[in-house]
Amino acid sequence: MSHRCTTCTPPERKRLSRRAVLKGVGAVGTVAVAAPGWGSMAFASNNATRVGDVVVNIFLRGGMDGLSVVVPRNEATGADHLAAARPTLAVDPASVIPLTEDFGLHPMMAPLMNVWNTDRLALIPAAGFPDNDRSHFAVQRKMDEGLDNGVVGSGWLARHLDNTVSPGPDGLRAVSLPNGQRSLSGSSVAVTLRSTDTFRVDGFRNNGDSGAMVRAALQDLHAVDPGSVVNSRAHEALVALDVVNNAPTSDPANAAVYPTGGRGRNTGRVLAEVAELIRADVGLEAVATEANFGWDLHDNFGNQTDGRQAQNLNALAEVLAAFAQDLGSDMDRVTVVVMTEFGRTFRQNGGAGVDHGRASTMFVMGGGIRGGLYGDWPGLAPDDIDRNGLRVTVDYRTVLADVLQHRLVTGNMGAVLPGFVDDPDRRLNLALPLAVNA
Amino acid sequence: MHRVQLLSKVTYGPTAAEVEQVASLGPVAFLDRQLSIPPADTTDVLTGTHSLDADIATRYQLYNRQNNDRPAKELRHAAVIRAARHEGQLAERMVEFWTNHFSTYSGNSDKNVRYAAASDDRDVIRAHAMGRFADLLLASARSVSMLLYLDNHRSTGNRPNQNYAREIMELHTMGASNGYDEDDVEQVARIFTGWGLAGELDTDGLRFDYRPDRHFTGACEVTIVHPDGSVDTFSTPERPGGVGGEQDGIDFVNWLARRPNTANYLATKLVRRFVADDPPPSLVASAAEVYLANDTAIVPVLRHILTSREFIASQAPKVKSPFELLVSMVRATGATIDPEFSNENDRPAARTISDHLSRLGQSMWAWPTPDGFPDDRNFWITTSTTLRRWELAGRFGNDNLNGFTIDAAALLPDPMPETIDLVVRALAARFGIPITQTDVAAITEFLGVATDTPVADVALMQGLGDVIGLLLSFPANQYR
Repeated sequence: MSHRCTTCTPPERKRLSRRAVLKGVGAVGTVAVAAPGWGSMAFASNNATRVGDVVVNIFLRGGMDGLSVVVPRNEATGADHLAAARPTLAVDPASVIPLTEDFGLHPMMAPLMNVWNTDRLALIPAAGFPDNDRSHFAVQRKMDEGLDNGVVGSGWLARHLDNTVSPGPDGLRAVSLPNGQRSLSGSSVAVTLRSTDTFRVDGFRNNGDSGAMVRAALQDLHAVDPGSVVNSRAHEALVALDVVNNAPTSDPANAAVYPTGGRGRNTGRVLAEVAELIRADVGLEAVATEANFGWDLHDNFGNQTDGRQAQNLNALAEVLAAFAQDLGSDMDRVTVVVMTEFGRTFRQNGGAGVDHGRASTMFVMGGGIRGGLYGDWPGLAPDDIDRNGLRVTVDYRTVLADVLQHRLVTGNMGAVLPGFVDDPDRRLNLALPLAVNA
Repeated sequence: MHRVQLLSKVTYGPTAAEVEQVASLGPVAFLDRQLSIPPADTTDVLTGTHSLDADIATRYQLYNRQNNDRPAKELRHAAVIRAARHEGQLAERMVEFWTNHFSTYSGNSDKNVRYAAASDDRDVIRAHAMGRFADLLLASARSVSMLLYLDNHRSTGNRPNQNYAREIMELHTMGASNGYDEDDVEQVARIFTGWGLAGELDTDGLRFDYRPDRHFTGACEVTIVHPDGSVDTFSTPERPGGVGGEQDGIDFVNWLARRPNTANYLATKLVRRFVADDPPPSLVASAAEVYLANDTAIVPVLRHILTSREFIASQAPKVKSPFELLVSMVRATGATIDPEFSNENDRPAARTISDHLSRLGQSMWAWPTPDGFPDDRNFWITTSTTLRRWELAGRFGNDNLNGFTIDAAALLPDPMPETIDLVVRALAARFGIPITQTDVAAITEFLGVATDTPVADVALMQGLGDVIGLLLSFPANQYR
């Protein structure tokens, strides 16, 4: 009656199944026909320097509630338990957008259905950090570093880049926007971009020749002690200035509209710039950003139409959908991974909010992704709950491992995810193996 | 040896007067003097209509129709002027430190923190910055902005809110998972139930109020395990009707402030701030002992750190935070800042300060999470902020910051040396920047002349702003 055995899940049941509930997309292994706007799978890269996809990692800092993203619709999946635990906050199962017989998407995330319907969106509703740690900062740090424990001082994306050959000339391999992201920290090739149009040397008077004189002087003044953080960043900045400033600019394509107001404004601007850089073909391989819409809703969680959580989810759906639309067929070589440090408590607290919980929903979106719901559903009966949180059934690194292996063709999985026991039987297989480049 | 170290770590970039003072008094007396001066508390640092001396209701009246960020702009404007001008430099540094330690976010409209932040700055942070940590912690626990920000004002016995309970242990005292677990977070949340607010924001303002009817009535027990394996327990009895619950919370704060784990966590952060990003463990350990031996008094801990062998020997440079960089440039160039603030319209100086702090990555009172800005060179220095640091330097040199006035010509040596290289060297010396002959050549090349060119043959005044900008862009000027 309660949970299924997590250690004996047959490999073919990787997708969320009753307690494991199946989404009716094509069977594992078949490639769905590309929908309009998504180009064909036989996308010929115009970027000879890149082997794998461009990975775009979006961290939802603050701990996003996942129980309002992928919502149980019936008794078998725990809708009644959820309604009892969150008398004023639970999403009404009758209002959700059906994803499967058993689960639906928050109604305010409707913009994402364009992506879901093309079978390029994987949702993992019980993913999370393996250990029951509920500190924002400790867990974010470990997830940014790709760990389950300790600190290594460099990010998982940084180590992926370090261990993966980039055959082409130096371009702009990795960017953090709009500020430094720990998943790229320690990388000598990652550049922090607050925005592309402010990436220049301002403030000096002698800006003749596009500031070349000032840049030359700054170059000279940072010539010694190249290992220091100040001088390293200075050199990287001076190199990146040329790449960024010479990259062709473009407006969003395919009539994509990013939110220009509300919570999604900043992330929308960031993703529009990322799409522009991908189109400009500057050699991008990894992007790290964050969407801090105010997920830490200990209070003021709000109702499902115009409350805080509903607005946040709407903004997230809008920016992701706009990004996919904007990139169009280029999305075939892009994989977006959205993650958060933990979900929220199962039961609402006194302030009409939810405290720090356990599992939440991870999103993986891209042309090489098999759409669907993934992972075992832990259930919401009293015995299923992990200290007032949704039980984690999928280690977040299991998701990263699929992406790293199949979409990023990473050079050394062990270095990127140290300590991760990569059990093939637990893999979700949510990513299609990358087609060999012509 | 100790003098340079002391001046660069205690002040926001020494002025000529401070250099002279440390020379005449000697480092020990100079430090004693700095340790004895409290933070700036007069509010005439700003002119115009502002709310530094207002209560919460008045501040609400001033700002409720204004942009969310305006109350924080006022605080940043005042903070920069105070840090640049206040004689108690160390005290202002500690204000910056504790503001970050007890970080609150004033950017959301729905939590109303923005109406309380300036009261917190005045009545909590500035009042206790050089006092006892236990008093500071208690003042923070009862502070309106903290109660709003971390939701404790909504926490009830039936449905405790864990936000504040978790962060007072994780961020304000002991550090993440440092001796406590999830059970303890639950227990602490119960101890603080009923600690809330009274009053109406728009009429009489908000104030701390203990509500017995909202307090958890059962017994609570918190267990802390120390690094040596010893165990400390804090327990409260059953509290029918919530009577006695307020004192339980006060006792808990006082107990928490005096735990060895707290001493260790605070010592680590202070040593990181004043000595190195990677704090020497021996100094952390001895500073923690001083903290406990002095019943959480802050000044003895600072004295210990700033006179320690490890401090004097430390070579690891600390990168200036954006706030430190901005204030140090104000002090180096003798810039004057327009003190006029308006609650209704952006005045140039207030806007300049907020814009540049934001671009450089330190929008104070607008860091969304309660952990505060990381004290880490890799956080402050990125490719993007490097460009913005250079821009700020260029703007200082060229007197191109709205609301600031910089007289570049007044920075030139008097009498004027004969050749341009000596002018460049004199300016560098004035800014405390070590300079090599190669650097000098790079700058004269920028001016299009050889190093030994007579000053009379150089269009110096046209290039002076950029020369100052380049000097303030030096790697050495990014460190303190």
